[in-house]
Amino acid sequence: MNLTYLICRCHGFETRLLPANFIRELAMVNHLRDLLERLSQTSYGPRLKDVRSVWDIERVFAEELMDRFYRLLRITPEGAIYDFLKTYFRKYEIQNLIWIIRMKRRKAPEDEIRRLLLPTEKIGEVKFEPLIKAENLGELLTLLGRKEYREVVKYGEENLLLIESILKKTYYRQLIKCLSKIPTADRSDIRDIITLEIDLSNLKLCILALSYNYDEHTVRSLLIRNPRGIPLWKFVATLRKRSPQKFIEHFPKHRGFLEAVLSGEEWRADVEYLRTVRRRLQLKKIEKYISFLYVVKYVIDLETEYRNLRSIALSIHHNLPLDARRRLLILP
Amino acid sequence: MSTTIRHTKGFLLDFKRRLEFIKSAHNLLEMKRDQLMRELKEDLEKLKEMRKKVVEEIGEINNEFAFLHVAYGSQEIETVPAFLEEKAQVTIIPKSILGVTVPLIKEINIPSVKGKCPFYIASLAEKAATALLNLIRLSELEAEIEFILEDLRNTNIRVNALEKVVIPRYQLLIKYIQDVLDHEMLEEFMRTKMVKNVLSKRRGGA
Repeated sequence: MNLTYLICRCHGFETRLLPANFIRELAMVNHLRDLLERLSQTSYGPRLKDVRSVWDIERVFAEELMDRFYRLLRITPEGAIYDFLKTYFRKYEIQNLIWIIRMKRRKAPEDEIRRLLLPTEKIGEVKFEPLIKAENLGELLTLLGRKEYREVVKYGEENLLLIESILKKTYYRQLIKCLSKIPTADRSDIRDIITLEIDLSNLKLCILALSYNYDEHTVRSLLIRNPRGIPLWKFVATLRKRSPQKFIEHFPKHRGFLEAVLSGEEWRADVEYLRTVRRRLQLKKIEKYISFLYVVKYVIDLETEYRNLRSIALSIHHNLPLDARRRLLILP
Repeated sequence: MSTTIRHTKGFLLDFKRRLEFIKSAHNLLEMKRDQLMRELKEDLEKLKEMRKKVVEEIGEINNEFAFLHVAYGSQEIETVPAFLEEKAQVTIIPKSILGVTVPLIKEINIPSVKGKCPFYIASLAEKAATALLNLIRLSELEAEIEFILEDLRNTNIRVNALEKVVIPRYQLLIKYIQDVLDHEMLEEFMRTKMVKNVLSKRRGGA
């Protein structure tokens, strides 16, 4: 199996994604049972047969996503591309780690923690069971410190937000490392996307630091070095001015994102970011038909479909008005 | 109230004294009832306003929560409480309003969420903390109204019982004793007159 085969398969897989019109129709549905009925004709159908609650529906969507990632990994040739995809999927493991840490802080029972986690066994390497069985948060952090997350121990149990930032930083560091090993021809387009993601993550961290009065040393240690993106000194210099408005002035490219975060509607910023990424990928896709970019686009399309379906199910559950549901969808 | 009634002057005076006492108690209870009614009216006005405010606040929180739940998923939202270690604490002491003991919230300690939770949920958490504070104040007022209502009901029963049963019964008893005493006095007067007549006849005959 080589890269061309993987790209061709992704072209094929892409046809199995739910069309935008179908997603729009799903968003108009009033009851969860109608949603399930419509989805029964799709690849989600068999898994959705026995669902009882909106929680089960979310679970099915996550399982399907992880299965599709696994199918993709199975046909990915060994080497830099495989390592990159595997590392990219680690974000779900990081998400699981964050949830385990939070639940340990809450002293939640082990079964409750297991119930929460995304089924990443097939695509990841982290064994969550010892972490779930840790006596307390201290022991859990010690276990994490023995692995690649050495820095988490440094921040102790006090501030979970710092621990979470460190985990995310570790993830992005690994991702950049893997990205650098990808052949140059395939790398540049993906690098743009990852660079944008890291820049936005750094901006979010700065706004958080500004609002929660983190000291400069802490912020410096949490910012993710982004070789092609905004340099760290620029974040620190803007942060010293202690004004959120200065961020909008100094980073006008991300004005919309920053305004949404500052207005307390971070979800809107996240949705807008994903829309931007999809638009960029769509534009680049036209230029290159056989490129690794297609694989990344397929992965992002899968994530978007998962997010859209989850949003629709939860919107129906909360009986959100139709215009609000549409605002939460990430569609072309 | 004693069930054995003796038709004596002393008894009559005692009953009259008791009736006076009952009437003054009735007046006091009536005054208490009116005051409780006033308190209740004020509290109900306050309750109406507060409830409206709390319902609006909770509605807003619910909408915002729904958006966040939809945007971030159940797992993320379910794990967020981990950021709040401290628990809310409320100190309640008893307070007396016209002899009615109602709960008074002396101190509310709602842990601050500022700087402790993810940024996307910080505004909602702050709104929820304010709403919780208002909800506790609302429950305090509701409890006060409930206790006042219960006491008002009891006071009303007492006022009605005094007004419709006890006082009329006493009045009847007093009237009855008074009648018996009058009757006895008349009888005594007649008897004296008759004796006097008999005696004067005897003297005239001699």
